[in-house]
Amino acid sequence: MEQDFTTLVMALTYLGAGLAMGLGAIGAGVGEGYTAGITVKGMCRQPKMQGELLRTMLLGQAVCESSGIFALLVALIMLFSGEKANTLAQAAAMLGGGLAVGASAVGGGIGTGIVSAMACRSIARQPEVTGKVTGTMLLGQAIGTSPSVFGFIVALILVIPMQEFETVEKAVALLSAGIAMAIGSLGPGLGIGWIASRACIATGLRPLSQALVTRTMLISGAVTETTSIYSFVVAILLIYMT
Amino acid sequence: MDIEIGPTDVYQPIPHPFFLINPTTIKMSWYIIIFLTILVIFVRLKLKARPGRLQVMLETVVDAFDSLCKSTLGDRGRKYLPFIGSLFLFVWMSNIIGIIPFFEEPTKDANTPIGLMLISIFTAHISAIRIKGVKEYVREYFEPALRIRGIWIPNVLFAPLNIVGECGKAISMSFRLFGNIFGGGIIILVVSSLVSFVGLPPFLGLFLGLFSGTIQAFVFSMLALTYTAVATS
Repeated sequence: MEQDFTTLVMALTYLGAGLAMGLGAIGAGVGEGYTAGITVKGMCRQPKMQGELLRTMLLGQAVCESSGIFALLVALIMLFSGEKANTLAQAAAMLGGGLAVGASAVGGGIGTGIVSAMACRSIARQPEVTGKVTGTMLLGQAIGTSPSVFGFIVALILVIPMQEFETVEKAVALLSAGIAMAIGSLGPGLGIGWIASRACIATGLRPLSQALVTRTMLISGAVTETTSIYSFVVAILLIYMT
Repeated sequence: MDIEIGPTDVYQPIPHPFFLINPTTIKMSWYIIIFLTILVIFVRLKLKARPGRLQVMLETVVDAFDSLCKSTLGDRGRKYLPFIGSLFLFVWMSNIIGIIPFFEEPTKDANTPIGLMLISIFTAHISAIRIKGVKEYVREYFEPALRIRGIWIPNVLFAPLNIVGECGKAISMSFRLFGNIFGGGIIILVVSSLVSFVGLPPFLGLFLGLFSGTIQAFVFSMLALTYTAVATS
């Protein structure tokens, strides 16, 4: 094909960047707001603990924000290095990358937000177990962000390398890789957040059984994560095997 | 507006992709290291029973991190205090150095956060191996394992998931710092080009640099501490 796709590529790049940041802001916003709300309630219940609560809240919110930060990075990369692309497949890759990182940040953001919120609630109820609950929270959030990390990796693969593919099939494959990762990581992110939030509450209620709770959380989190790994594998196959 | 992703200038002494040097980042990192070293030695030599302002400031930081290390790691906490404390001080100075004109944050270059992340992850894993032994460390990757009549059967299915989880921690830790500082820099650039003659950007720089930079430095060092605690428990 001897057509010049520069205009189309620019248009789709802008669309992808907008979608990435717009969708990516949802999860982090909801999650951080929920955490802050529960923390305020906890401070009201336990005014002595406000220092600890503030620390845990900031820590949890920062982890929660990381999926939004991934979206911001990909959007910036697309905006500032998108001019080099000039084939149809690259245009589709831009849009797919934006979708992948944006939508995968929704699940991860909301999920990790629930975790830090429940950790703050747990600390407000049981001030003695702050250290244990913070550990459980960070572990849970680390598994909770992994779907967004997959989305980020797929988006980087789609956005950065400029391969010379010009077929329509390749364009559709790259776009579908983005869609697979985008939709596939919504559910696991929320699900892991749910598991880890319950684990934080359980650790607060029964600090002695923290080892058992953490182990169960890790097992079930890994099982829940499997579906997002399927999407990741399918996305990688779509990118490299078509 | 001319914005680049990555280092602002690149020097290549030998024509090979692995020998790229970013002079600005290295210069700024060395400024911070020299400044911190001189400050700390100066305060150390003038320790007084009735502390002055500088001494109180540094004592507050050391005290806060000492109690954090103790509450997270228990009796072993003191051993990690120098590492966690200097990690915080370095990242903190790196994040807020941008508010001084003609200075650039070293953390705005993705290489610095990734390097710091590698140091922290390395520390966590080496401490885990030293405390638990190689056998127990490797065994953890095959958890949750099956135990049938007391015989330990490695769970091969979960090993890749555990490794992916470790990589995810590492990626999100370094890119969180990089993204926050880099995004802050972009916001200041965009606002400066929009309002050329209004004195808004310095205040925005104060907010993004001081407030968000301090929080990110704290979060980074806390994550290094907690990952060490999780790996060694």
